[in-house]
Amino acid sequence: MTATDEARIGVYVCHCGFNIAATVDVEAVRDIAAGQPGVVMARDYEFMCSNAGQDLIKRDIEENGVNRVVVAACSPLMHEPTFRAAGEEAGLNPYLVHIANIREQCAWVHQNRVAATAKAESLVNGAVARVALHEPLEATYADVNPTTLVVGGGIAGIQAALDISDAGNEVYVVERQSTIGGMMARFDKTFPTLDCAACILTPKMVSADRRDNIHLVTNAEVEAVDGFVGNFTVRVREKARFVTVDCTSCGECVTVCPVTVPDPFDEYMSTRTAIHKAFPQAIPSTYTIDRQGKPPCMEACPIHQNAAGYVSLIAEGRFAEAAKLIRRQNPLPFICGRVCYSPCEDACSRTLVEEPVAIRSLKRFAMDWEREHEPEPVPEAPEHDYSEKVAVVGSGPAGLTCAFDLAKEGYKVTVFEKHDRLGGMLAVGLPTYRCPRPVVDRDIDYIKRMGVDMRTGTELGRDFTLDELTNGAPGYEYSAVFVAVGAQEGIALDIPNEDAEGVVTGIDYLRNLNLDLPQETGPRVAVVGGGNTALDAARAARREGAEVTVLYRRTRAEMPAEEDEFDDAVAEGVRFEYLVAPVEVLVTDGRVRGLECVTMELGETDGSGRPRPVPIEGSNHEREFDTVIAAISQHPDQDWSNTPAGEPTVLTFSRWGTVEVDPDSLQSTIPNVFAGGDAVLGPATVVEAMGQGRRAAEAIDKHLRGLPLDGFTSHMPSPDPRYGFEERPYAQSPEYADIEKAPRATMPKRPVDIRVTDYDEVDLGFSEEEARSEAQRCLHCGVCVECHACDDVCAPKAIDLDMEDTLTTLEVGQIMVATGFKTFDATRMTPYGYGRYPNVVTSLEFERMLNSTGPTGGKVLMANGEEPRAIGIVHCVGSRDEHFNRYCSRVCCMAALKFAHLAIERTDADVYQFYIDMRAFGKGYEEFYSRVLHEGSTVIRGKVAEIVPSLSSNGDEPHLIIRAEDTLIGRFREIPVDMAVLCSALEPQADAEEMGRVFSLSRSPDGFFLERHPKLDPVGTTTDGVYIAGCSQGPKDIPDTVAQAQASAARILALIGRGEVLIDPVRATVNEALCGGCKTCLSLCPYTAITFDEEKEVAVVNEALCKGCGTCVAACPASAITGAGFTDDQILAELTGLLAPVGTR
Amino acid sequence: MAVAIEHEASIDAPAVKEWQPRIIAFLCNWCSYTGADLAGISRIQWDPSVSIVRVMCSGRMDPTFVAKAFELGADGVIISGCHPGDCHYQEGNYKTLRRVHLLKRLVAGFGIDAERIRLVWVSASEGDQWAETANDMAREIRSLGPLRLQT
Amino acid sequence: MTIEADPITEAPAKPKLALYWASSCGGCEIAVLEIKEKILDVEAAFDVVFWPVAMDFKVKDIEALDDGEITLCLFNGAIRNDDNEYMAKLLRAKSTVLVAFGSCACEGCIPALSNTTTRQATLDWIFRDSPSTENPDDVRPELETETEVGMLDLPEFWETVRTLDQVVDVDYYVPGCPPQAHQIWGVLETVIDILENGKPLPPQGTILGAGDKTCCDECLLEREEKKITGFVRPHEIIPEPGKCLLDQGILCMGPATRSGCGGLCMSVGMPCRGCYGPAPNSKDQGTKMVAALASVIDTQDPEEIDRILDGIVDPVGSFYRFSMAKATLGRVAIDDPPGEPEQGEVGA
Repeated sequence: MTATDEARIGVYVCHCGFNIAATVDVEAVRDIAAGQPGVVMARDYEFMCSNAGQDLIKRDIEENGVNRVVVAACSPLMHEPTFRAAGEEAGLNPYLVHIANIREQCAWVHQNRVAATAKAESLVNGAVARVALHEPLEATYADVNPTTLVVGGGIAGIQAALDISDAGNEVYVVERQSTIGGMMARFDKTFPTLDCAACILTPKMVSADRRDNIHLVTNAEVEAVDGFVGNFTVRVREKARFVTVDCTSCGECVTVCPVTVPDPFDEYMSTRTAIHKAFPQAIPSTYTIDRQGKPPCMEACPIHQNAAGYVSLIAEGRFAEAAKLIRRQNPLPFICGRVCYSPCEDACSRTLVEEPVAIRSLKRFAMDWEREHEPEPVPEAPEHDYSEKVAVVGSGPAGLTCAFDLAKEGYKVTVFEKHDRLGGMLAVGLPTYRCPRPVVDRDIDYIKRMGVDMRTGTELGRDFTLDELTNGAPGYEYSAVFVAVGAQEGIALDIPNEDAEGVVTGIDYLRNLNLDLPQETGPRVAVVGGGNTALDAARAARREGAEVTVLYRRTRAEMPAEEDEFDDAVAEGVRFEYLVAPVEVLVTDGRVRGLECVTMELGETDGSGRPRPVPIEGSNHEREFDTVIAAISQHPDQDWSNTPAGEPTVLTFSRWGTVEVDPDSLQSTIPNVFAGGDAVLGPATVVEAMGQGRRAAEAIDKHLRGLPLDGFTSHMPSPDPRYGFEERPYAQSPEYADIEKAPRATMPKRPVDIRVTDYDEVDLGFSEEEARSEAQRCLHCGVCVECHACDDVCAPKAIDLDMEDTLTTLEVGQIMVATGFKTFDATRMTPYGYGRYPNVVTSLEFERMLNSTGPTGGKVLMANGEEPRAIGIVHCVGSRDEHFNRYCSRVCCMAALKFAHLAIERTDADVYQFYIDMRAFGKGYEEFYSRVLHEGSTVIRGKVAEIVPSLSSNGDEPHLIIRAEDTLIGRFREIPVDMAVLCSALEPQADAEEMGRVFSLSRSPDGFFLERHPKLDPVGTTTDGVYIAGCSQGPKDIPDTVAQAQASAARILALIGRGEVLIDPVRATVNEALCGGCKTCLSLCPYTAITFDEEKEVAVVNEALCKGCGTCVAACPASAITGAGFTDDQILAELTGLLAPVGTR
Repeated sequence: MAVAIEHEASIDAPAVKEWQPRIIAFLCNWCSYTGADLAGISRIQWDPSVSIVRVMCSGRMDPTFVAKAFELGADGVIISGCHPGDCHYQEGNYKTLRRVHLLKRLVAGFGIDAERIRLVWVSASEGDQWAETANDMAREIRSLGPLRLQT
Repeated sequence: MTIEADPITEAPAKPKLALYWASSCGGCEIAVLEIKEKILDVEAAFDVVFWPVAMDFKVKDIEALDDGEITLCLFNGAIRNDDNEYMAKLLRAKSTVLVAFGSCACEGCIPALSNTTTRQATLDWIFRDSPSTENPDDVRPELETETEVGMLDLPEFWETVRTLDQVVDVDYYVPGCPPQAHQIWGVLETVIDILENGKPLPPQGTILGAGDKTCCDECLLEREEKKITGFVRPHEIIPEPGKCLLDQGILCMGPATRSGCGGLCMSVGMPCRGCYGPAPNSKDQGTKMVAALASVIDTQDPEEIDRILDGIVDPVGSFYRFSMAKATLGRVAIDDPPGEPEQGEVGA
């Protein structure tokens, strides 16, 4: 039939028993309807939804030519499908049937019969006027993708997945935790039958794992859902677990992991290692490494040394491993352990508690321990055997590191050193009282043992030229060169008479002493400058027996020298004078007699970010000195780059004399020449130079392997933006303030009076005990410390610390959401003292305590390890409470009874229950209640007012007093107990709102997901194809949860069975003849269903994408868009009918 | 045209034969209409002078409907959709929000009290909020009196 | 439709044409002359019996005619007083085909904007309050005034301005303020063709001399997806040439207005103000424009929405500048004491 047929409307008014008839005069409504235009039939009937009722409609369609139907009954959301189907069976297009909602929105919400009847009449009139204009619509069908997504791997998710896969369908289970099992996995016994949770859960978990058509996606979250019932597209983020599927879960890794953090699975009552499995029967059994980015100490280190790693190993007394780990990345461990400026300590999270961990000293300890206790370490064989040879010029930290890394890679490396002693600045610039020669040699020997050829006394530019090196002259067949000649030329003071006898630069002074070259030191020494070199020179001069004054033109605050060394210098009697600078060297017959100085004052800040010192007029004064050491700075000499033939080198230099290179790859203007260290940075620190050496080695390797260097990025860490300082440490220790303070250990030093007389080392190092306890201050703020201990013991090599999150897109037909609950934060219930009194515990904590695999191995113990003599179990904590949640959490009463039973079973304690009402509604619950009563648990009816510690104390554990009114005897009672168990409410997950958005689920006022109908559709939702089950829908026990899960599964299977889903023909269409092409509608469609046909200059709606909201229909200024099923004319007709006069009584 | 009714002791029980307002409410199918149904299921009483027209999304609400409703004798109009951010169609309710803001300015220009149009957000779970909205609007319209359009 | 021969001359008498202006500015009359030399063809085809603005006829001449004797009457102007009403009824009776000619007759147009206020307020403004009024004795027009030449009378000034079809039956509509010359000629040509070749008339109520889409269809400016972040008035900016004015924040009624003008205003950088009336399928020009415009305001923040809407000065005047008399909401409520309404009166 078509809309052009004359409308012959049948109106059917439902009594719905008394539901409607009690308030609405259905006969009156029927009579009014009968008088409406187009109405040829008007009936009323007891139950229109009954078969008999539907038959009335069918018969009228078939026999009385009714071609439009209005059913005045319950909400269309309830029975519209029913009556449309009835019409269809009688050959009527289902969309010619319309419902007038006179129950939910009339009879049930009004008491006044007259008013309700009048309104019902209007509603029917509206429906009649509307349906007259209805047009037959053809519903389209889409195939249903049989693959299903289950969100949440708790008992609900597992059960549903099993049921759905039983029918041979693919199921994806996305679980946020690293294992499926959910809350149930953490329980011990389950009420009322007291069978053990694990025993009934784990078999299901295992079979879920075994099924080929169940895909468990753990450690993962759903990020976005698109599409509609039958065909959803879901984006899932699987977080990296850093252990591959090759894991055999042998557990070896756990035995070697040095990190321990509180274990959330045990409610933080026990600890677990960084690499872990939530619980023994976890599925999948693959282990997971817990990481919060990288440890900050590691990020801060220029050579990416994972300090946290060896610190953690030292904490466990695994010194040899610590040393081994250090060697892994550090070619100069002994030296670094002494002279590194330790940026790691600046980054240490412990600083937020009190002071950073003494990381450098711990490294020194580990290495010294190795030297004393371990055999000479043997370098590992190189990874490859490359034919290329690489020349490294300069044996300083940069050169040595580069040589070390390249030798490890398998290159033939030759190091050229102009001095007779290897080590560059380490050898010539570093006083032995800071870093003894044997220490330096030990590091260098190790590198020698790696097969690095070291040639001393050969100087670039003197004995051979850069061109020879680069062009493979005979004897110099090198494929690449690393120039690390350092910055060893002291910068002059640039004042008169500087060339006088007795004036020397700091670096020359130290070099002469170190290399036992002639160097006289007068009795009165002036050291000009405030850097490390100045202080080294000053302390050296002290050891030469001089009286030493350091002249610095700024103040202590601006002094670049390190704290430690300054303190040592002061201790050793070095005098410091600030805001003073020499302007001339005073000379008598060619020899220094003193300095003319000028007093300075601090001006405005200069380029270096420090205030510029300004001379004070007329402040000139003379000072008596015999030796003047100028230690203001150094720069590289450039003689080496000159070729004897006088040919200009193609290298370029900055105005500070440093080599200009690509800052990333350190490649110079000559492709196979790289440069680094002080020669590039200018005077810098040891570890910075090492960082450059490492960078160069990596670049050279790439270069020699023929890989491009443009866009070269070193492995060198760039701080992980996701984990700044504040995010750390690990979640379990939320407040730094909570962490017990432990002062930083300081190394003992040799007494001043002795040490100034010789060049022996000043610092004495830690004892094993000192080292361990200092190391234990590490907070494991990045959790995993990347010590690779697990890596070393993992037989199947399943550890992959470079693993990244994986984003996958799933195509599924239907979705079940069973994301569970979180428990009420008991600290909010301040009168109960949770968090203040150690023996006030939550139900979940008690549950874990009772669990044989829990923190106490199933024993009920107080914080002091003793068994409680009395336990009070408090019901309704956060439930049935105006201040928190008004609803009943439904499981607490039974759980409490279970606790009582188990407590009585396992302890001699008296057990008290404090309840408001005992809710024992389930099958076997009441019986369980009386059983526990007979077992001797005392029940007190009354809400607990407060829990306070008693004055009398039992050993170190004071009693708790539970104060409550006993409403049965109407008396206030105080019960002394040793332990109080708070039955915390079940609450929606913290991110329930966000999840609701992702799956477009509504939520009830309590925040749980909302079912489509509280009685008749408890697992459906307002979004077709999305179902809910378990505690994400509301608090419920395991039986109800499983029942819901199976209900959802049944619904899902039903649709899969049908194989196709009806697509509501409510869609928008553009009438091209009317569209003026104003483009108003284009931006309105959230589904981008509207496009513009530039040819015809009209808007076009893609029906496949249109969801029929009608927003564009309303917005079209030309009224050129029609919304099928909700046309302007239909809605206006409904208004006309609604507002038309009705029988006034 | 008005329905005059005897009220029994029910909501805002007015005097016998008193003028009764006519209020039209456009409710979106997913949140508000379901919410109104919930009020029914929970038997939360609301004023019978409010009649509901169901649309799929509050975004379907065309100001023309409101004008027509007034022309046809409505004294007030309620438009209700999902809460911002919860729209079943992502953001239809924002379009309505903007339309209602402009529509109120328009009707004011016609000398119609803008309070006769009310936009609310009622979720599927807020049956009580719906009832409160309906009652409050009915109260408001009673205090404003009948809308008298000149034609 | 055919015309009988002249009983005396036997020559086929020409069909009679009448043009009249009621409450209007006269622009429509001038517009008729815009067809230029074609006016001669009109003269050739018709016998003009009434055209006050151009030729000297008296009402009595019309009253003397038989009913339906005038073949075609182009009636422009709104109905806002008794005289307008009298003439409308008279010409309706005497004409076979009555055409509401121009926006005033079709939709009320500018005169109907006085429906946004009351008759009293209008008269007070004109005879007392307007700055240009010099009327110390507050002299007001009287329906009847005794003078030496006798009784003078004025037609009653109405409370509400009405369109022609709100007073009498109308056969056809020619919208526009004024109707464009080419459209006028088009209509006349059709009529002539029908008369000469005895073609059937188009169905009653047809809108002649206009397009069947919206102004945007004829507008040559380039449109984008609409996202409005603020409104400006035409004098406040120099619009970017070639770009849609609405996209630039200038309130242009084009999207909600029937085509037919050829996008005239936009072609000279002025926004459409809506003179060709609502779009063909539209129920209400103003509310549809409200729906469209508000939908594309580019913010979700209520305060920001209001800030942007403040840019629309006088919504009613902007959205109903030409169609006020046809607005669904009718006219501004007259605040007389709202006595107890009788049954069936409220809002009916």
